[in-house]
Amino acid sequence: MDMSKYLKLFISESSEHLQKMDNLLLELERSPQERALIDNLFREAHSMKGMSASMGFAQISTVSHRLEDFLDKLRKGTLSVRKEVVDLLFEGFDLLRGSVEEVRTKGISVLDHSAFLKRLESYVQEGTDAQAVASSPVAAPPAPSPTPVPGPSTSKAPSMPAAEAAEEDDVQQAQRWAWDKGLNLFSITVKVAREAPMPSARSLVIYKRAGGLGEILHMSPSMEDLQGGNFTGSLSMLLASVKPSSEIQAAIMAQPEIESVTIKDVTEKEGADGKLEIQPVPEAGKITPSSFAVPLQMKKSTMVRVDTRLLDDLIDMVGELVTAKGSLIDDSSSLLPVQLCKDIDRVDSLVSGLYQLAIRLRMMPLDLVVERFPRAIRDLARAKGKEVQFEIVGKEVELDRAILEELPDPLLHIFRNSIDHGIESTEERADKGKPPVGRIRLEAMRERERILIKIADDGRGIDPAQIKRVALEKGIISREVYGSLSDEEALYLITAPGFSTAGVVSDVSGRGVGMDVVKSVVESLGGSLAIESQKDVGTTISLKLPLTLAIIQVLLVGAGQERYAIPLSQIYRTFEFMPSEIQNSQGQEWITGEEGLIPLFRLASLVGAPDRKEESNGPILGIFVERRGRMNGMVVDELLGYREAVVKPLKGLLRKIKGFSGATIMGDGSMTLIVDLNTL
Amino acid sequence: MSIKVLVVDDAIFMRSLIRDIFARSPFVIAGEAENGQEAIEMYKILRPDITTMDIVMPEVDGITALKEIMKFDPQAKVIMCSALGQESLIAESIEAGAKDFIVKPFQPNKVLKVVRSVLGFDENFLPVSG
Repeated sequence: MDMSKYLKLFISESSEHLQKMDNLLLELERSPQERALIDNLFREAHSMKGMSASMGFAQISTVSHRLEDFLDKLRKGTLSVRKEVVDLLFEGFDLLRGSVEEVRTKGISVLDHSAFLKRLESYVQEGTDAQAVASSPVAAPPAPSPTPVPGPSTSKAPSMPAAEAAEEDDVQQAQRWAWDKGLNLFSITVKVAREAPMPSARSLVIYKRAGGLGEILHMSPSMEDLQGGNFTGSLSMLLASVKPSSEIQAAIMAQPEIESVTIKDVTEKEGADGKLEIQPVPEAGKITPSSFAVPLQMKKSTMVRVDTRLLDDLIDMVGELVTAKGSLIDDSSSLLPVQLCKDIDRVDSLVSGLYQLAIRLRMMPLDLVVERFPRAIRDLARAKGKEVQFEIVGKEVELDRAILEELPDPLLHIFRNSIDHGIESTEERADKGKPPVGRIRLEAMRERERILIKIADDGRGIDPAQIKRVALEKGIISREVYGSLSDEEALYLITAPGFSTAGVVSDVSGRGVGMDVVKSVVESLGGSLAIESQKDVGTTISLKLPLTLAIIQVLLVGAGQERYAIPLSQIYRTFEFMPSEIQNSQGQEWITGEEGLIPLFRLASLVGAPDRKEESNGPILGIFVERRGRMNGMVVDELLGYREAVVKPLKGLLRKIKGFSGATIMGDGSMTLIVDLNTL
Repeated sequence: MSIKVLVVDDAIFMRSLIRDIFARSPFVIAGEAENGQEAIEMYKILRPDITTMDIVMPEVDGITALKEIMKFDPQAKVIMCSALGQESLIAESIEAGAKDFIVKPFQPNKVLKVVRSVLGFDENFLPVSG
């Protein structure tokens, strides 16, 4: 069978299973008594085994199989959950992941895991022995206690040769019974194929099938022997039936894994007298119909798997539609017939609704990217010899997949920083009177049209003085700036390119990805990053991200002779003020806002837009915006209204221009730049 | 005549393997369930001619589902899907009324042979391809 078309599915589903296994094991490490976790792990390993065996990936299937056996021992209590056990399992999961990765990149699985399997086996040996000594002896494989079959037909040996299978007595008894009922009697010997994967189960099916053709008066081996699973070879039975031997033979041969069927008519030709002792072997599992009063209910499967490219295309198309709609509305004037205006209104609201739906299609829960963090954090902490407890709140919060996909690396880097530099060693924490286990908490929540992700640790915090010193040494800031920077501002120096306070480059943090990269990724997504830190209390890094990248709500403003779009997600509110309200200090204009004096800047001069001709002394238009995590006042010349803007990324040379996150096409076909206040 | 198949397995991967095996006339995939509870509910509505039932599944396992289905329809033709090392579970299933079983990794010809024999058709029905 050509399995190549299942490869993608195998890779994606087995990766999901491995992810679940990691998380289950993490939980188990925390609550070793939780049996359900072991059951779940067992099931996951079992699924991996089935899938990889189907694909013909022998190594993956063998490792999964052994892990499944190993987990089964935990389930049965022959092994207990200890640190070494958890480590072995993690190691096994990693090997599986490595093999799946190999399959993904090379299409084959050749990685050899025999060394691991040996260790697993020897641990089972020792572990079991140790426990057997420690506790009361645990029974070897549980042997099912056979319940005797009624009647005289219990067999003697499990795999008795067919010829001697039925004792002379049994045959005679059977013959009499069959004669009495007017049935033919057949002695049947069935050889099960040597390669049959489950000969006992196969034999059970053969018996059952034969039982459907008549009455089985004797069988060897018995049902109980078969249920014990110790059977190889052939089975024999005496079957009383009205059917001809050819039909019986065909019915049995129709089953798979049967090498041969020998059938001998042993019907007694003359009636004989005698006591009838034999009884048909009751067909096991015969069930009488019973009334059924459970209401019919089916949980409809409401999920569909769709290629993400299709979704992207759909959103592009809807984006075009939104643009076209904008154009239609711009063109429509009050001179149009009332009915046409109503129609346009209707199209307007339908297109908006369609857009909302299309975006929701591409929204995915944060869970998809955060689920691998617990394991990563455990490993990072271990590598540093630290103990960290990780907590996630709000993993159900949804974001545009396009944003979600960019998040893992920045988040991981923040975690690495926390573990490397934030969380203290157990001893240091003890000295400070802190709980020995450090805490990292990821919290996600929706805040208006944005998602807020906070990563907080309870470590030593960032020391602003040290940050400033290092920045000065590295030439990131000048001596003047060094003197004027507030502690709060100093924190943001860690996001400057080339900044790293760690004396030694850590093998985890020092991978060339610094906080500067984190910042630029977040900003390229139209988000912002804020840092709060308190000595010995901890550090909190907050990421504010837009819900979606495709279409955003913007406020169109006029600045100088140009028109710009400001993302609504960066706007608090608009306001008007008189020129006299502006205060000048430290070469900077200020205005009074809710939070006291806030910096004021003029959009036109920042973007270098040509000045307006007219000067006025009337009220000035301002917008309170968020810029680099703080509130700023921004002066504009005109407010042109809100609209939905389809974001077109800037390409080529335009990308190099700082201060713009993209462009949008207006209804009249002209282009407007979308301002990115964080980089402006 | 079409033969309705209900496929029960928690792994999409496995379901698509089975689905493809039955992707030929006269079979039609009547439904797919991803755990035992769904299987029971879907069986009652779909009344499939053949049900392939995985054993190890979350929520309600395959054997429990099988028992429920047999209670509802003693004529149900349920074929268990099993992996190596589950012989005792298969034995239990057959006791509970499963008509036959297939073993992972599935070989399409064997699966079709089992189905043919469970349905009581002769060799001319559904000639198994080489």
